[in-house]
Amino acid sequence: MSARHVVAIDQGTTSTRCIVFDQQGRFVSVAQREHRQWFPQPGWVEHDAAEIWANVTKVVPAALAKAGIGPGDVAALGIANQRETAVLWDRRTGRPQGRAITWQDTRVAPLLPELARRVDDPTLRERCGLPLSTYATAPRLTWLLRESPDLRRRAATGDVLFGTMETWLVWNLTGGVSGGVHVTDVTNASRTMLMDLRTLDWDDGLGDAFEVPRAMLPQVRPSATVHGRATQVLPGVVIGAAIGDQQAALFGQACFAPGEAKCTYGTGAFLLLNTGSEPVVSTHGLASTVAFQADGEPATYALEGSIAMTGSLVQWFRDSLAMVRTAPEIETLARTVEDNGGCFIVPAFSGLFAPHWRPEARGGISRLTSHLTRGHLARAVLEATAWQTVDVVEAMNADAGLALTALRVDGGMTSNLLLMQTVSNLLDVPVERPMVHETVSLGAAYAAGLTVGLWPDLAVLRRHWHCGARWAPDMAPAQRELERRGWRTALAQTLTSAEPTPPSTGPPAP
Amino acid sequence: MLLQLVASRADPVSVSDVAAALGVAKSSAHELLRTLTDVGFLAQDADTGRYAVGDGARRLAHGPLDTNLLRSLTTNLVDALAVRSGESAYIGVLRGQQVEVVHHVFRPDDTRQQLEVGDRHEAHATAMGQVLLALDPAAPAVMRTLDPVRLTQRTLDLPALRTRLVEVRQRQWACTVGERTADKADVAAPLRGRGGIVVAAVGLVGDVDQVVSARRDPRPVLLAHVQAAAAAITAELGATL
Ligand SMILES: Nc1ncnc2c1ncn2[C@@H]1O[C@H](COP(=O)(O)OP(=O)(O)OP(=O)(O)O)[C@@H](O)[C@H]1O
Repeated sequence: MSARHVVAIDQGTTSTRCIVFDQQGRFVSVAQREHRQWFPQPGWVEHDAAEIWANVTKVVPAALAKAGIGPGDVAALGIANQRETAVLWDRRTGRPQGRAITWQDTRVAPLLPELARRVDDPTLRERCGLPLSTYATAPRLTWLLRESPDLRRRAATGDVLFGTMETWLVWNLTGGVSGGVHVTDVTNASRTMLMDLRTLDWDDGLGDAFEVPRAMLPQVRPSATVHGRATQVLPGVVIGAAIGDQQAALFGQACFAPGEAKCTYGTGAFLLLNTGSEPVVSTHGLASTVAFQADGEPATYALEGSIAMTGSLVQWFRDSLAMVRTAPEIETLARTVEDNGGCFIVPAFSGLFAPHWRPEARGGISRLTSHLTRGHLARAVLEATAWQTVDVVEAMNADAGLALTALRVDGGMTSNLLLMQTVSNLLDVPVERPMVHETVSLGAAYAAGLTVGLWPDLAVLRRHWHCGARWAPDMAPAQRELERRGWRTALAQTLTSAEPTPPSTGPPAP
Repeated sequence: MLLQLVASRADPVSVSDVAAALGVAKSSAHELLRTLTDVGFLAQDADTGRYAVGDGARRLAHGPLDTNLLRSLTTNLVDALAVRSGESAYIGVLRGQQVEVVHHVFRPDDTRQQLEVGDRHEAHATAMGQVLLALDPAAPAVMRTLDPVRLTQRTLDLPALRTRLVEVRQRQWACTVGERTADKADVAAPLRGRGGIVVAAVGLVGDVDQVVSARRDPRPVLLAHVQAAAAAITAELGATL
C-alpha cells in the first residue's frame, strides 16, 4: 500500500478541523475554520449545516496542502463530530431545512415533562442508556416536527432526512443528491435517545414516543467500517470511520480495555469509562453509551459522566470577577497560597448535573473568612473541577463495580499542572496525559486506519500511545478525608438550599 | 515620553497629535510611532490609523511573562518536539543565575519518568541556560556577578563560558555535553516574544551518545527539530504575546 496517511475531520462545536496523521499515528498538519454560532432566542443555539459543509470542503484540501500530500496518499478518512446536534435536509435538493439545533440548545425543556409521562425514566435508561434531558437529540426532533406539519409530512415519506453531523458530512462526501449514503454510527446513534443499546438499531417504541418517523432516520452502522467512498473533497478515498467526539477521544487515548477511562477537560468535562461488551445501566446518575464498534465485532460500551462547569468556571473567574487576565494565569495565582484556606466553590450556576441531576441547585462559595485572598479563591476554582471529577468517578466505580486505577486526561485544562496534581491527589490514582494532544481526531484516524488495514489491530495502536506527563497521588489520606468533608458540606448546603423543581432541564446555555 | 503621551489620552492618537505635542516633524513622529508599534508597545488601529497603548507596554506594567501561560500556549509544539526527536523536551526561563524548567514533556519510550517542572539548574551548565545567558535581556546583569560552579569535569569556567556565549549568540543555538551531568547532553534554541525579545528557551536533553556525534556536535536531525520547534513557538508567541 502506498497511501500512508490518515485524514481525520473533527467537526466540533465551535470549529471544523482537519488533521493529517502519518502511519505511526503522528500529527503531520492541521487546518481549521470556525463557524458562526446563532443565538436566535435565549437558550437557543444553532449552526448552519451548509456553512459547516463548506468549511469541510476548505479545511481538508488546506490540511493536505500543508502536509504536501494529495488524495492518492490518503489511506482512509475518519470523522469525529459534536454529538446530539440535529440536522434536517431535503433529500432532493440537499438543502438543510432550517438551521441545525445543537446539543447546547435548551428550547425543548418545556416538552420534557410531557415526554417523561410517555416514557418513564427506568425504561429510558434500560433501553437507550440516557436520562431524559435537553442534551439528547430525540426531543429536538419532536419539537421540529411539531413546529412544521410540512416537515412532518415530508419526513414521513423520507423526503426530509435527519442526521447528526457525521451523517450530514458522509451524505455530502459520498455525493449528496447524487447517491449520497444516509448512515450514522452506533456511538452517535446512542446519543439520540432513539437507539436500543443492545440491538444497536432504532427502537420503534422510542420512535413513537418522540413522534419520529423511521423513514427519516439513517441506517445505523458500526463506527469503524467502510461507510462509503468519497466522491467530493477527497475523491476515491474510503470513509473508514464515523464516531462521536467523546468516544473518539476515548479511542484516541487507547482506552480499549474495560476499566480504562479518560477525561477531557475543556469548557465542560467529559469522563468516559470503558465497561466492556455489556452496557451498564447506571443507578448513580450517569449515561450508558456505546464506546466503539468495529465491523463484524460486538460493540464496546462506556459509562459517561459530563460535568457542565470546569473551564467555564475558570472563564467566570477571569471575565466576571476579573481575577486573572488569561485562564492559565489562575495557576500562578493559586500557587501564591498553600491551600484553599477552607474555601469551597460549588459551581452549580444552572443546576448540578452528573451524577447529582439537581437542576434547581444553585452554586455557592462556602466558608468565606476574612483571611481569604484571591489565591485561595483560585485554588477553590481549580479544586471544584477536581472534586466534580471525584464525584463522577465514584459514581462510575459504584455502577461498574470496579475501582478506577488510572485516569488518562486531555483537553486545554491539562496544561494546568496544579489542577492535574490535585485531580490525582483527590482521586488517589495516577493521572496521565498523552503525547498527542488531539485525541478526538486521533481516535477517528485510528478507527479509519483499522478499517482499511493500515494498522492490523488494537495492540499496534496501544503502542502508539505515549505518556507526555504523569502525576502520582501525593496527599496523606487524613488530609484527603478532611478536604472531602469540606466539599461534601459545601455540596450539601447547595442541595438543601435549593427548591426542588424536577425534572431536569439539561445543561446551561453557554 | 511618547508612551506616556499616548497612555494619557482617552482616545487613540494620530501622527499629527504626536508631532504637535512633541514639537517634532511629522516624519520623525511617524518613525517613533512605527518603532514602538513594531515591538508591541503601541498598537495601530487598522481603520483609523491612530495609535493606542499596545499589549507589550501593558505587559511591562503587569511584570514578567507568566510561565503558566507560556506552557499553555506551547503544549502542542513541545509535544511534537518530544515525539519527533525521541528525547525529553523542555522550556526554561532565566531566574537569576539559574534556569527554571517551566514545561517538560517525557521522552516517548514508556519508561517511568518524573515531571521536572519547577526544577532549577545552574544556567551556565545547560544548553537552555547558555542560550538565555547569551540572549536574554536580563543576562548582562547576571553575567557581571556570575561565578560558575564546577559541576563536572567539563563544566566551563568563566573565560570559556564567555567564549561559548559569543558562539551561541552567533549560531542562535547552544549544545552542552556533560557540563552539568557527565552522561547527558542537551541542545537548545531561543524563544522570542513580540518585537523579537528573547523570553525563554526550548530544548531537549538525552544521553550523550544519542544527542551528539563522536565530534561532540549535536546530531543534525535533532538540532533541526529544536530549531523548527523554536521557530514554530516563536511564531505562536509573536501572534499572541
Ligand atoms: N491552564 C489553564 N488553566 C485553567 N483553565 C484553562 C487553562 N487553559 C485553558 N483553560 C480553560 O479550558 C477551556 C478551553 O479548553 P479547550 O480548548 O480544550 O476547550 P473547548 O473549547 O471545550 O474545546 P474545543 O473548542 O476543542 O471543543 C476554557 O474554558 C479555559 O478557561
